[in-house]
Amino acid sequence: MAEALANRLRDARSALGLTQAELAERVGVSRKTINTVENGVFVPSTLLALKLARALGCAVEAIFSLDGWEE
Amino acid sequence: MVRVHNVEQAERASRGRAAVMALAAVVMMLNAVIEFGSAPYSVLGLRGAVWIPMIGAWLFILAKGGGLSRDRLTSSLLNDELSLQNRARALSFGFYATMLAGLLIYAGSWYQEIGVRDALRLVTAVGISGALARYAWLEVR
Repeated sequence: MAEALANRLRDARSALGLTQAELAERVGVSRKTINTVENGVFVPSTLLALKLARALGCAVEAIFSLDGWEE
Repeated sequence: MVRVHNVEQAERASRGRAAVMALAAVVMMLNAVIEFGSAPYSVLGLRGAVWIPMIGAWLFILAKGGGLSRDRLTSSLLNDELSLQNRARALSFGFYATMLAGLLIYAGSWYQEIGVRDALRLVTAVGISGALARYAWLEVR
């Protein structure tokens, strides 16, 4: 079965009332990077995923998970 | 520390960079096609020689990502993880475009005489234009 990275970045960001630009500022990337991660166009590196989780104050697993992953 | 101001500035610069790269790709490709077999490029002269620094400059910009005149923070945003990946994909696309152009010219030369300089100009134009156009597309999508 095909695997894909599911993410709840938009939800997590909205829950904190942050704009994409504000999250980008916190993480140190462009707004476009945040946008493409949210839309599933860009799969971030582990480093960026960890930075995003830290900026949003949650565990990385709370934002990213594997779709179609069979335990 | 990165500020929202830097993020907005980088966004504008990124769009500008993509537009300039797309335009450069079209101009270079048109130039190579329209001037194919043209005398100024077949003999030693300024017009033909300008091709060398021009391709070199675009190769440098593709390698570095541009934005060198910006402040350090904006420049780092312009060349963040996504942009680096886009550039890698664009360079890969440019490589395949170059190979394809080389093969087509090789095959075409059996049917029509093609000068070495014309062939090389076409190959470099296709390669660099392909990479620039692909990068511009990836950056604005």
